[in-house]
Order: sequence, then C-alpha cells, then structure tokens
Amino acid sequence: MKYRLTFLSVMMLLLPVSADPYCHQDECFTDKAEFVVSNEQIVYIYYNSLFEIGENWFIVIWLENSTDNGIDLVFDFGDDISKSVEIKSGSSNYTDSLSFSGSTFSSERFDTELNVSFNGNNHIILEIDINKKPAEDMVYLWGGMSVFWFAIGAYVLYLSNKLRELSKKVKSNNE
Amino acid sequence: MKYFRELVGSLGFLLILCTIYFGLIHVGPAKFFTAPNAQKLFYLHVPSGLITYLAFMMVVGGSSFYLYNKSNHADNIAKCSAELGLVFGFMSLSSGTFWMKAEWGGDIVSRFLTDMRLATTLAMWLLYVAYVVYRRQPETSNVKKNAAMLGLSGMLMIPLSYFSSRFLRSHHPVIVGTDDQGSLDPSLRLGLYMGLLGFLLLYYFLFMLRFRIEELEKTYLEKRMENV
Repeated sequence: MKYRLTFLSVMMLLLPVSADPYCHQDECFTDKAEFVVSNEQIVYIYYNSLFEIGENWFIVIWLENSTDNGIDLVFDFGDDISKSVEIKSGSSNYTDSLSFSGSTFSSERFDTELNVSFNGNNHIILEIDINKKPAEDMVYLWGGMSVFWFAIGAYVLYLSNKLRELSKKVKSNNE
Repeated sequence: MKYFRELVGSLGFLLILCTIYFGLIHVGPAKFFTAPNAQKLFYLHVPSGLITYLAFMMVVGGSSFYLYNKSNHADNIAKCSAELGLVFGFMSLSSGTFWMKAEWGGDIVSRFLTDMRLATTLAMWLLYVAYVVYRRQPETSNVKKNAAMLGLSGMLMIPLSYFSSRFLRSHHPVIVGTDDQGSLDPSLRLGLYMGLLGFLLLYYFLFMLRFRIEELEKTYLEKRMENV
C-alpha cells in the first residue's frame, strides 16, 4: 500500500511536467521561440531544431491576444530560401503554419541560422541543424558485404586448421 | 615459382578490395534503383555467382572424367571444387538475398519459392551440399563412383539455374551474355570485370590450397596403411 501510494505520488508529480502547455497543434515541437510585439501581444513560434532532409519541416505560429496592426513574419535561411506569413490586423489568438520542403537542403549543415524578422524591423535568429538520415538500404549493403568476408575468412580458417593438423600427423608418422 | 599460389591469392584479394573501393566510394549511388546503395552488392554478387557456376562445372568435368577413366586426380578436382562451389554459392545466394530484400522487398521465402532463378540456384547449391556431405566418409571406389554420378547431375542443374532467368518465370535481371551487357555503363563494367578477375584468382588460390591438402591427406593415409 505504501509503495502504491509512493508510485501514485511520483506519477502525479511527473505527468503535469511532461505535458507541454504551449503545444497548440496535434504534433508537438521540440523548440519554441517567442517575440513580444507589444505589451500584451506575443508571437510564439513552434519548430523542431532538427531539419531532416527528405521530410517537410514545419513551423507553427501562434499569436496570443489580438493585434491592432498587421504583422509580417519572414523566415529566411539565406541563399534565397525564405517564406513569409502575414498576420492581419484584428486577428485574435491567431494561428498559422508554414513548411519548408524536405528537398530544400541536400547536404548536412549544423547550426544553420534561420532569421525570423517581424515587420522588417526586429528579428530573432533560430539555430537549426540540417540532418541527412542514413539511407535505409545501407543495412542491407553492409549485411551483404559482410557475407563475403565471413565466407572467405571461415573457409581459409578451415583450410589452415586442416593443413596444420595434417602436417602434425605427417610429422608424427615420419618419426 | 615457389610462392606463385600465394601471389595469385594476394593479387585476387587486392583486386577484390579495389572492387569494393571502386563500388562503394568511387562510383556514386546507382540511378534507377529502389535501393541505390544496396545495388553496390552487384560488384561482388555477380562475380561470386559466376565463380559458383565455374566451380560446379569443374565438379561435372572431374566427375565425368573419373567415370570415364577412373582417374583419382579428376576425382580430387571434383571433390575440392565442390567445396569451393559451396563457399562461393553461399556468398552469391546470401548477398543476393540481402540485395533482393532491399530492392524488391516482400517475403524472402516466397521469393525463393516462386522466382525460378532463385529456386533453381538454391536447388543446385543444395545438390552440391549433398555431394560434399556424401564425400565425408571413407573413400571406397563405390563411394567415388556414386559421388561422381551425383556430381554429374550438375549437367542438368547448372544450365537450368543459369538459363532460368531467361526462359522461366523470374524477376532476376539478365545481363551477362545478352545485348544488355554491351549497354552496361562503363563504370559498372569495369567494376564487374575487376571483381570477376579478383574472385577468379581467389578461386584459383583456394582451389590449389584445397587440392594440396587433399593430396597430402591421401599420401598420409596411404603411408599409414602401408605401416599397418
């Protein structure tokens, strides 16, 4: 009974911590950035700091409270890779999302800077790691390749053992 | 030349390493394949398959020569080559299975049961497993004769396996000996021929080593019988 109560207490403590109060979407994100537009208006940007090549990369924008003036958000990776979102004036608890295609990048890049500018004046920088997943068929390649070395190695070992034993026998027979 | 056999073996090994370097690093991922990385098994899978046919043809040749003139030398050739055929056949079948799983997907067992190239090649390999197992007993003339008859059945199995992808139901690609061979990309062709030469030299080295062991064993047994 004592252990059960302890277990329940621990679970009650852990569960609220593990729930993300800021995730407004079905998928939760690993990172979040926030930008205070005015005293009461805050723009939250939800994103994954890991960009997997081959998979679309999403950003979710959430505006808390309503805005009197429109907000232009530009997400710029540099090299003409950028996208923008406009939050119109009068929007209240506005949410939107945008995505970069999985083929935006072709090679790994770490600590890539994503410049997020608000109305062209203020900006924040998000650091993104661009990752290239190992190909799924690599495991089959290495499996197939090891077969050759295993077979050759095992057979050479078998032959050398046989030759050694035979040499011993011949030697003892001659003696 | 004293170390000719070892020299040939080392050269073969070196060529295989060069083929692997060539296939894995020099040539980029293959185009038009579902599994472009697993396709690199081609450089060793095809040569090992061709050497398997060569080894089993040596068994057929040795067995028929033994039946013709009772030559122990021919019988030894057949016996040693059968073992090597199993080794190279194992390489070819296993690497092919890995490649097939990556490229075609699906259930491996049903592929082996329904694709005639796979089925006949596995049957040929199992036939020579039976041959090698049968030879693991005291060698009387009767055993040699029966083994030679079993070895000769390769006359049917080898062409059946080789031509099955041409004439029977099979997904296995056909390249060697067809018009497609000429249309192979030069880089593929270079890797293929390098791997083939490497495996051929390795086969020669292993065969000569196995043959030497066989002869030593027989000499030892004969001497022992004399002493008794």
